[in-house]
Order: sequence, then structure tokens, then C-alpha cells
Amino acid sequence: MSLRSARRASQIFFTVLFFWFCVVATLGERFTELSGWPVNLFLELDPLAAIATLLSTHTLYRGLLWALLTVCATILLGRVFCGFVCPFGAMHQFVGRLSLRGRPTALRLEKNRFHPAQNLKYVLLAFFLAAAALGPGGGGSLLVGLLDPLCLAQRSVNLALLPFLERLGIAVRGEPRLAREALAIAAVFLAAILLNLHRPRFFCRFLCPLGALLGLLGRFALLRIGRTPEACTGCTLCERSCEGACEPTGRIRTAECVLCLNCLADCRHGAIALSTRASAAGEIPLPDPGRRAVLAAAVAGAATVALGRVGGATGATWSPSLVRPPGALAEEEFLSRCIRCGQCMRVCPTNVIHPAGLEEGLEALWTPKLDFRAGTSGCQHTCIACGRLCPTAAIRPLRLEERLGTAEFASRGPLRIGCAFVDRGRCLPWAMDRPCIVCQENCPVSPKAIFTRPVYTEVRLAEPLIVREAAGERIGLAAGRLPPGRFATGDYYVPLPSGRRLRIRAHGEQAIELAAAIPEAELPFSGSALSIAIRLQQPYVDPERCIGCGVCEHECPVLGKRAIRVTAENESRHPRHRMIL
Amino acid sequence: MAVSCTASSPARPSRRESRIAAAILLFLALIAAAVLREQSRPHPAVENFLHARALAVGTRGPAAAGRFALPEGTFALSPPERFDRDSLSEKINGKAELYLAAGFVRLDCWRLGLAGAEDSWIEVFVYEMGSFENAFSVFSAQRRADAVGLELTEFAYAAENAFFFVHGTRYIELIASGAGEPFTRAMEAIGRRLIAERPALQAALTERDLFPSEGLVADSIRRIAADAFGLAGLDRVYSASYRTDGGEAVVFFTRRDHPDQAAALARSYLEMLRAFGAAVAPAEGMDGAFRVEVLDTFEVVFTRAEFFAGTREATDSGLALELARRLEKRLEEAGHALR
Amino acid sequence: MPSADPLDRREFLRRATRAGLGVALAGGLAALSFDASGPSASPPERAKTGLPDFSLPQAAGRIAVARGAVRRETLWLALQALGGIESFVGRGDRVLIKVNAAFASPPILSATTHPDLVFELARLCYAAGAASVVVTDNPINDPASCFALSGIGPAARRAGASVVLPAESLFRPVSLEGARLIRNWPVLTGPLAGITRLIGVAPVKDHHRSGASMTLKNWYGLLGGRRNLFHQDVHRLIAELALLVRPTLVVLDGTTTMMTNGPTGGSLSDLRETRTLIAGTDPVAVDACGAELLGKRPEDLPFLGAAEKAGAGTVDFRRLSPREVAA
Repeated sequence: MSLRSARRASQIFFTVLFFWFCVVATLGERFTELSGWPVNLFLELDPLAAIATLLSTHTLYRGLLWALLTVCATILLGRVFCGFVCPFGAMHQFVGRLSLRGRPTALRLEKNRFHPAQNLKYVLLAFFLAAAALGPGGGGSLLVGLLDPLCLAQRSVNLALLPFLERLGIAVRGEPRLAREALAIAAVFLAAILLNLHRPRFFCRFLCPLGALLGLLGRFALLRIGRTPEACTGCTLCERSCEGACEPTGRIRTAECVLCLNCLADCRHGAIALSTRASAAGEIPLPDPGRRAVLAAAVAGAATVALGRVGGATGATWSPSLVRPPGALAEEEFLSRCIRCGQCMRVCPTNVIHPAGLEEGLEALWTPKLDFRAGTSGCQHTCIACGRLCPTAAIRPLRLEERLGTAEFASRGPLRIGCAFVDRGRCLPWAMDRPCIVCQENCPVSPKAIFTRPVYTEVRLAEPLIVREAAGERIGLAAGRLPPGRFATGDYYVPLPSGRRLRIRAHGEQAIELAAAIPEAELPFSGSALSIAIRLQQPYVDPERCIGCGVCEHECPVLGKRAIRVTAENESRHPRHRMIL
Repeated sequence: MAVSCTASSPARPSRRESRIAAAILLFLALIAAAVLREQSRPHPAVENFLHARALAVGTRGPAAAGRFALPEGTFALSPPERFDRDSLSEKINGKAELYLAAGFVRLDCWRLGLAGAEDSWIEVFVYEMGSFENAFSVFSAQRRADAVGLELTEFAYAAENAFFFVHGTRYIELIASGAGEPFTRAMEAIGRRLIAERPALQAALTERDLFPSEGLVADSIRRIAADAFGLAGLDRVYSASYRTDGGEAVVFFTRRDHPDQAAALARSYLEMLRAFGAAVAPAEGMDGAFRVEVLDTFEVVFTRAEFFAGTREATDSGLALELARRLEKRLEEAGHALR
Repeated sequence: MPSADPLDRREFLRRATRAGLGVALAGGLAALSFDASGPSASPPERAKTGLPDFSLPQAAGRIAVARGAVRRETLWLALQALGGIESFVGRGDRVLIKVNAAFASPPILSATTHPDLVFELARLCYAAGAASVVVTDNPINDPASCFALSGIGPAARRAGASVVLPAESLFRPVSLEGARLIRNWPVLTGPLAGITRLIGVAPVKDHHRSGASMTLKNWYGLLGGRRNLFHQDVHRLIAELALLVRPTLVVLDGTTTMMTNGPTGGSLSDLRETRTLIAGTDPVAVDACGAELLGKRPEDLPFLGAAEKAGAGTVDFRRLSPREVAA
């Protein structure tokens, strides 16, 4: 068995594993659910995510330590991760291979020749690392998540591909999940895939900041591809399928070599070897993107973060619509950790976490945000899955006691992610004279954060009601007709002169039966006008109790723009956003 | 120290190369094994997941059931479910008709577990009946024989493993998976929470005052929502049992919207009894009343204003007449008061 | 196949060394920065606990009440009754005077500390040998206009004192032990750096939320951030402030008292000539005494009782046998 076959086996293995991890990353105990699968494995093996968070937070969180494995493997063996492990790389390689299948050798040589623009990825790396390292308040922003191949792939599969398949009726478990931003996320993913038609492994060669990082780390790799001193006939067959476009026949560009080992397998003359010796034809060990370009990119990276915050998005002009998952760190710390992988969104049992779009600003693009309309419910106040799964602790791992504010957390109270506000212009009992207490009924905290106060209001009738006769609990009408059944729900009353009201028990078109007899002294005269009052229970929010879970917003029957909505006011993660003492 | 592997031709990898390739495959297998082993240990995110899912599923869609603050020591074991007139039989097949006939609006039910006691749960049924009278109908129609009065509401009783009570327009059943003190305490707490949730819904049974008090068997008042005594159209009937030295009987009345309706109802009732083979004759000593003898029991029925009323299943004809007279008196008094 | 070429061999050794160093470096860095538990709940608590205590133990519990219409006179008299400015300020002391410059309103409206008082106090401090005198406040309105229009700025400068206007860099989060409100809250600590004596000077004013604004409420001007949040529980806040800030001396100016429509006032008809100046080392007692000028009893002002309960001073100022002096 050749090394190339082993490489292919490895790629297939890791790609299948990657997709499997995406599929199972929903909350549950079954084999096909999260159960115990290490679904963050690829994100944790990603040294770019690790180094970027190391730069932004000066710490290496828990599972990110696995990246050390990749780093060490790369230092010793070169970009073995790109060639053997990276599932995104495998996808590119597969599509690129298809695109060149059966094409003339000359074209293939042309497509697989080194292109100076491959240096772009080093420039991008400088940009992203500077953005991570140099924030206005210390830690920068992990914009790298937008282009990091593993974050990109994970996000695309989690938030576009799988929901899309579910919608088609494939791999559905329960109702298909909604995925906001699926189109934009898929567009990036598809663009990256389709660029392979232009050149194989386009993303890896030109754009991948992780590839750039690994290329640099592999500077002193002990084993490397290169020419043997034996005779080379110059047939260039070895460059026909070169995935990295590293030109193994000439002075090999070791930083570009992704260890696809195609050259090794394709050479019929024993002129190419994986060896501890340097290539007999010489090596170009380091790329040359140009010092100025790298410096400019670094400055641009730092400036991007600084400029993004000039508007005050993490300070005075913070977005109230940006309700973060429970346990999310304060916004600046959050942005210095979130790699936009979409794991929290995938695992959320109520599908309430969605990627933020551009409405929350460029810096927050595709970071998690709660959308209570899209979810199957609000954010369950007994659920802590997202923080437990987050690979970088942008959402802190919580204990349930902390979320609920019990045990040793009792003095701090429950964790709040926002606060509900009643929109009195849209709320049925506030604005429309219609009884409704859905939000109050559904409020899950105890004691309830939503309470109601009863008011009685006169009902607007199509025509005035004139009394024909009244006796006991009955009132007959001389004029005006009542819509059948409408006032018999128990919410309607007939007001008496004394201010008392008697509930309407039943009514016909021109007869009303009350729940109790009208006192003799208050019997309406024949010919007098009669009004009907409705008892409304108008909802109020107690900000001390409200945790911002959004169940009320989700259940509100005003389905478009809800009449009760949660915004990030009063969220625990920001003492500055405190609304009440 | 240094390892180099050279492929002499693409078809024939060297032995050294093959060995390294095999080592790579072995490495992959090891990874697969490690991943599988990891799978068997619950992920920290999955902890507490049962609880979260139970609550999550329950609030799916606009038909979600109203929830209330769970008393200490209980937790949601199943998602809340909601049933309407069309789907009620999915939950209580066979008994649905009883509720539907009495004006059933919707049922919310869910199962609560008792902390610290495995396989112990209480199922909560909240029947929204639309009116207090309807709720009372289903409550009284199902009153258990071994009932013990409860102070929860005016109309409440306990069986060994269950609580039944009317709260406003709602009829509520709490049914435990076993009997005993922990269950009773939990049911009591749940009942109080349910009542506290909607404090404004109390109502009184004014019709109770219409029954003559002497001989009335405690807690025997029923409201029959529809098809009382097997007669279609005879609905909204209140009945109660009586026990005296002279024997036993049932007293009933129903109030129609108009005296004519009451009279018509009386006629069809008597017709039905005649068809059964009953002997019907004017009652002696009571104007407009009829004495019925059917299968060794006696009845006296009459109409007064909007009321159709009478005694049934009396073991003694004298008792039937006497109770009918006393009922007539009460109805007349009440009729005045109502006017 | 081992390499026989010494050049190749040397090259390999060089690479192996560097790769080994790289692995060691990566491993070391990872081990150093490894964080198994993740970040803590709130942004790292950088808050200082409390502020320095500026009170003088030997001068505790002193209070003097001077009657008269001229502030320079009554101040001098009151200080004399307390043992003279020298009992509070000595050679080389660096003094911070915390004024009430909350609003950009003229001295005549008595919504701010009177400039005469600032001038005289600063002058007396220098006369007693103070090395420097600094005047500061974090006003409600624009700081520069507040200090200019209230006359405090010019008066301070005339006396040789410097005025420190609040700037973001001068605030540090501060927590008060056991407090519910002052926790990790930005406090104007910059001007306190190097200070050895702290004197609070405030006018007597009616206050819409707290009932009265005197020397205790004056410390509110040391708070930054969105401090108006605290108006939801203003009495507790003032009590916590009384614990947080332990001054050397406070001067309460009741020469003219803002009786109504406080704390801004705005009309001369809100004012009454009460011809009283109170100085003392127990701000709670001073404020309790000052409450009488507003026609209030100490019980009417819950923050006084709360401050006493917290251990910040004495409400029953008569127990401290105040010295009464008149011009």
C-alpha cells in the first residue's frame, strides 16, 4: 500500500468523522445525538483558533490544548494536517481532482504551477492575528473565524448544509431546524468549493490562513518532500497532481507543500522522496509575501478592530437587539473568543440561537444571537448546553445552579440574558381590547416575572344597545344586536350605576343573562342605553424576576413584531447594562 | 534516524513505504477507537439535558400549555400537553363524551416527578370547562365513593391517591402514581399553586340552596349537563340524594328559559316513562303534579314557572310526594327571590 | 537510509535542533497559558476595595455651629471652635476639597458650594502649611461650565488651589466591602492620589429623591458611570457613601438654604437666609444638624439612620455637644 493510499484513507476517515460530528451535534443521549461524541475535535485541533485566542486572551482554554498536537506534528513533519486531516482541504482536493480529471497534462501542469498570489494567505494571516492580538481594550477580535477553514466548514455544515438537507426531508430528526443567514453562509462555502474549478485547492493555496500558519510552523520539518540526488528526467509528471503547487521538480517551496504525496507516487524514476535530507534541487523554505504587505495587513487588522469599535458597539451604543446566549462573556471578551463555528447554534435544543447578520455590525457577523421568533421556544432556563459545548468559552461553561441562581449563587440571583418589555401599542389587552394572558401564562420563572393587572373597558359596539326590559339576571334588548356567543366567554360584564359589574353568563342576539341578579335599585330602565365592559388583564414585567428567556416573546400571539420582546437590557454579563439596582 | 522512502514505481511501493502506510491506518483505527470510547461518556453539555428537553418540547408552537411554578420537590417529567374538543379522546378515550357534553373547552395536562423518589409521579389534568357550572357537572358526575373532603376549594375531595376539585371554570384532577404522605403533600402543594395561579376564578353554587335541607345526603348534589335520566334534551339538571327514615329518593330540578319550555320538557319526560311501561297518574294533594310508578320505585314530577322538578327512585310513594312538596315550596320561595 | 553526507547530516541536525526547540516552545507556551476552567463570571474584578480613610482619630466627633451672614467669618469661627484649621491641616499636607459643583448655575442660586467658602478654605489650608490644595467634583452638567459658572473654579485658582476636572482616566472601579450598590463601580479616585487630607464642602439643599442634599450626598459627586441608576435606592446609596468616604473634615453651608425644588432650585424664592454654617468631623452629625435648617427632623431622612446603623457616624448630634458660636 502506498503512502498516497494511506493519505486518501486518512482524508476519507477524517472527512466522514467531521460530517458525523456535525450531524450528531444536537442535544441528546442517543448514539446519533451528542451523547459523548467529541464534536469539537476539529476545532480543537485547529492551531489557528488556539493561537488567535492565545493572542487575544493570553490563555489556552481547555480543549484548545489539542492544537498543540497539530503544532508539534507540523513542526516535525510539515503540513501533514492539510494533507491528511483537514476535512475542508479534503473537500477541495476532491472537487479540484474532479475538475481536472481527463484534462490534458499541459493544462494540469499549468493549473498546478505555483502562483505568486499564493502569498496572499500569509498576508491574511498577518491581518487576522493582528486583529486578534491588538484590540483597543487589550484583547482583539477573532475575525479569523470567518476564514479559518475549520470554523468555516463547521459553520457551513451546521448552519447551512444540514438545515438545508433537513428541509429537503433528508436526515430529519423532528422538525427541520431554522437557520437564519443560511444563504450568506452557504454562499461563502460554495464559493470556496467552486473556486476549485479555477485551480485545485484554491482556498488552501491562496486564502487559507491556517495553511499559512502551518506552512510557517513547518519551517524546520524533519521529513520533507524533495528531489533525490538520483537522476531526474525532467518529465514533470510529479507536478501534474501537485495539490500545494509547491513545484517539487525545481526548488521546492516547502511552506506550500501540503504533503499530498502525489509526486511521490507519480514519479517513476525514484527522483522524489520523503526524506530527512533537503531536496537535492534546493529549497525555498519560507514564502516571501513581502514585508511591507505583511506589515500593512497587520496594521489593517488592528485598525479594523479599533475602527469597528469607534462607533461604540461594545460600549455606549451597544446593541439591545443582540441578546447573547446564557453565559456569554461581556461583549469585548466575547468577541476576543468567539470563532463563529456555530456549535452553540447547532446544539441548542430549542433552535433559538442563530448567527447574527450584518445588522449587528461587521465585527459581530455570524456570532450567536438569540432569535425568539425563529426558535421552537425561548431559551430554556434549565438548559446550559451551549456554554458547555463552546470550544473557546466565549460562552462560559455554566453550572445549572449558576444559571438558576441557586445554591452558592443565590446571592447573585439568576443569570439574565435580557429583559422583556411589553409593547403597549401592539399588545392585545393593552391596545386592542382583546383578552390575552399568554405571556403571563408561559413565563417559566418562579415566581412569574410577568404579572397582570385587571382593567375594565367599555366594548366598542357596532350599534348602541337599548334596553327593552330588565329583571333578575336577565336583560332584553329593544335595539342593537349582539354577535352570537361573542360576549359569553366570561370576560364580559354589564356595568351597573353603582360601579359594580355583573358578568355575562350567556346571551342571545337580544337577550343577556348575567351571572347574578341585578339589584332592584340598579335595574336599567326600559329604553335606556346599555354598555358592555370587558375585563382585560394587562401584562407587566417585573424586571427583578425577568431573566430574558424570551418564552413570552416566542408565545406572543402577535406573530410579526411581537407585542412583548426581549432585549439585552439588564443582562448579567454586562454590569454596565444593568437597568435596575 | 533518518527515514526516507522512495517509490520506485507508482504500482509497487517499497516495503518500508507499505509499513508506514499500515502504521497510518493503524493510527486511524486507534483514533476511531478513542472517539468511540469518548462517545460512551456523557458530554458535559448533555448533563441535565432530559430536564431541558422536557421543558423545550412542551412549549413548541402556539398551542403550548400554560405552565405554573412547580412546587419545591417536584420537577417536570413530561412536556405539558394540550387537548381541545377534537383531540380530547386522544388523551382520555372513552370518557371524552362526559366532558364534551358538559361544555369542555380544553385540557392541559402534564406529569410531575417527585424529587428523590424514583418512579413516583403525579399527573395533573386541568380541564377548562368554560363555566363554573360545567366544571361542577363533571366534578359531581365523577365523585368517588370513598371521597374525603378537602379544604382546597369549596368543591374538592381526595381519594387515596388523587385530588379532585373545581376551581372557577376549571375542573382539576391530580392523580398520583401511588398513595401516601409524600404524594398527598405534593398534591396539596400543586393544588394550591394551581389555585394561586388564577385567584379570581371562584364561583358559588347558588342552586344548592334550592334543595330542601332535611334528609339531603351530604355531597350528593350533582349537575347533569346533558341527557339526564336518559332523556335527550333534558339538560342542566341538578339532582341530589335523600335518605330519611321513610326510605331513599332522588330530588331533581332544572330551570328552563320559559315556563312553556318547562312544561314541554315535563310532557316528553312522562311520555318516555310511559313508553317504559310506567303507570302515570295525577298526584293526589299536589296541583298539576304527576305520580309515576315504575319498576317498584315512585316518582312525583311537576312544573312551577320555569322549573321542571320532582322526585325519583323513591322507595316509598309517600316519601316521593312529601319531598316533592318540600321542593315545590323551596322553588316558589326561590322564584320570588330571583325575581 | 542514513545519510552519509556530512553536509546533509549537519543540515539535518540543525533542523532537528530547531524543530525540537519549536516543539518545546509550543509546549511550554501551551502549558503556561493553559486554562482548564474558562473565564470567570464577570469581567476580571479589578476593583479596589474602599478608599483611604482621611479622618483623624484625635479629632473624632467634633461639631461646631456658627451663626452669621458672612461665610468667611462663620467658617473661621466654626474652625476655631473645632480647634483651628491647624488641628486638621499641617505642614506639607496635600489637601483635596470636594465641593458641590453639580450644576452650571450661579452662586446666587445656592445650588452649588459658594465660591467664597472655597476661596477661604483653600487660603486657610495654605496658611496652615498645606503643600497643595486641589478642588474637584464630578458634576451633573458639563464640568468646565460648572466650575466656571458656579464661581468655584476662579475662586479656587485665586487662592492658589488647582482644579481637577473629571476625565475618564481618573476613574477606577471601587468596591465597598459588604455594600450592595457600590460594587465594582467607577469612582473618581484620580484626584485622591497622594492626598493626605480630604475636606467636603457642601450647601444645604432640598433634594427631590433623598429629601436633603448636604455633606453626605455631596460624595455622590465622586461617583462615575451611570450613577443615576442609584436614585432607585438613594438612601442606601448615601449610607454606603458615608462608609466609603471618611473625610478629615466637612463644612456644611447653611448661610442660605435651598428650601424647595432641590437639588436644582432655580428661583430665589426657593431660598431662605438661615445664616448658619456647620463644620465637623462626623458628617452624619453635621447633616443631622443641618436637617433642621430645612425644617426636617433626622427621622425624615432615612439615609441618616442607615448611615448611623452602618457605623458611619452619630445622628443625635447633640450628644457630641456642638459648640455654638456667633459672629
